[in-house]
Amino acid sequence: MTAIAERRWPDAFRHASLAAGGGVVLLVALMALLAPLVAPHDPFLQNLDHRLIPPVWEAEGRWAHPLGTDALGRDYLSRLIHGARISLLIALAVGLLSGLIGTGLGLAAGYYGGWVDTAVLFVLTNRLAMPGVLITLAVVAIVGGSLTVVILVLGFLNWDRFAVVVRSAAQREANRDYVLAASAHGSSALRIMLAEILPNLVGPLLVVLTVEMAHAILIEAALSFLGLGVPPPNPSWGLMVNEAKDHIFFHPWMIFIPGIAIFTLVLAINLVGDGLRDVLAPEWRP
Amino acid sequence: MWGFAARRLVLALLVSISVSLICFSLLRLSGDLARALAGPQATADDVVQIARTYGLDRPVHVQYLDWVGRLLKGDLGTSFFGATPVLEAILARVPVTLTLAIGALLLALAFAIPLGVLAALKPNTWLDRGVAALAVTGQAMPSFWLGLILIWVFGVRLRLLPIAGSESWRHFILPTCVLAYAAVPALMRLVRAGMVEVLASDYIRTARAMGLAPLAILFKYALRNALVPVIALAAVQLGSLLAGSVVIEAVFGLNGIGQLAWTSISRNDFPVVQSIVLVVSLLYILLTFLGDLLNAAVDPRIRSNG
Repeated sequence: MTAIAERRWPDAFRHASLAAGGGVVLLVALMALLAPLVAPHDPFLQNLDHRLIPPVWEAEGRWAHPLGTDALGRDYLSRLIHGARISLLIALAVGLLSGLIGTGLGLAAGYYGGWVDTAVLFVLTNRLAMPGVLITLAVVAIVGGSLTVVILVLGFLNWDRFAVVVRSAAQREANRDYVLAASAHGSSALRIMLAEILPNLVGPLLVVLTVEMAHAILIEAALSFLGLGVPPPNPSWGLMVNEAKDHIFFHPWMIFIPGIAIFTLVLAINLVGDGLRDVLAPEWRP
Repeated sequence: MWGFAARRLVLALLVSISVSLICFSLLRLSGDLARALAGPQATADDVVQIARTYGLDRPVHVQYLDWVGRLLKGDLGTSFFGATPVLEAILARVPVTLTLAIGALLLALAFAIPLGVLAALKPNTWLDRGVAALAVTGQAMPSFWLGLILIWVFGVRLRLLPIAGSESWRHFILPTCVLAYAAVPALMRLVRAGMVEVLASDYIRTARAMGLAPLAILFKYALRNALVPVIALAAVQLGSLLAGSVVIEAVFGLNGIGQLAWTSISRNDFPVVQSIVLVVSLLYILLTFLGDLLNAAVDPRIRSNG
């Protein structure tokens, strides 16, 4: 009896975390989509008479600005809501771009094997040896920071996990009967990879996608925090922490709020990923 | 073993060469260096003049070979700002960054190994869940933000620790903790997975059946084997900790390689940026190579496969 109870509880916990993570992600996505409608103010509108108003839970807080205002008098809640757009856009675009590159390389390496595999592994080893954050910073510094540049650089750097996972999965599938049958039937290699093998890799791909999306959000936040990511006056959450750090002595809430937003969204995406892995393939449980 | 080591060495050398090529071309592909260096107000003549001074007007492959040739003699060039040789500037900062990265790795291992073992001994219990939750939150935590929060708690509110600088060991406490927290999840998961696998293996069952003391089994037989993959990951983690210290050094005002990289990047000091990227990459290649060798030394199966 106790053994079963012990097993059931963590499983229920896992599904609860999937639901909670999915709920939070949905909520943030809705907030991002409807940002102009739900945000109480214009996120770019400066009001120098209303600078550094604290959030409502502090003594001088007002309901007109529930999360207060920043050093330029811009409404913090509105900036937070619009900032969700940047984080989610980065996550989706980087996830798709790196997913395309990594899946392509992984499929080719796993299906063809031989020198193609050796070449892809060599490129992968090179990629892993390069310090991603430093390279991103250097490129952004030269080309100039913008949403597009950040997306392109991160997309072209963070495909390694996709390639590793897809390569080993494709290796396993390449010798299965259905692939051999398609091959004997005269299907082209490209067709076999895309129409036969790829659909079987959707599960692992979705899991890696969540990992990479979470990773991209954290890196963009760190870049913007260093002042080399999304440029001001955009309400990137990392940039908001950067602008808040000079106010650590008297207005620490300015640091807390955007940081909690980053942490919550990344945590939620990771929970969705963990939950997906359990539902789709319990055997990959760490 | 020697064959394995030789193959790995060749691979490491090949990767070093191509990484040096990538480092070199990356900065040149991303724009006109002479123009970036000359600044927005420069005339076309200024740009030509600067290109000539720094040898940027020569063919690219000549520039590369020249760069590699001097590299092999230990000459990383000089900074665009001031005449300090880049190698000297980097070596002066190494102690700070190395102290930070090694301290963080040791701290991370000190938490990851016991927690991973505990989670593996009691799988699917609340203890296991708690450890997993710690890992999940660790992976979602923006390190720069955690750094600022710790500065606020221990520096601003409690006034227990200094908030910026690298003068004493007390300056290293907070940044080491932040960096370690980021490294714990991956190490802990690997320890747990390794222990779960080892504990279910036949030789542990035999040891138990023979009546060996549970603690002796745990430490003498199980942990030793479960830690094999952790060694390799720890070597790789040290490399990423070195690279990841850019952000942490900026938050805590530590005067290490990360800080040097950041200031050089923000003022387009390309010789320094290029050298730091190269040095960190080469260090990473070296660490991965050593990790592979260590792994192969304790696990004969890897030698035959590699």
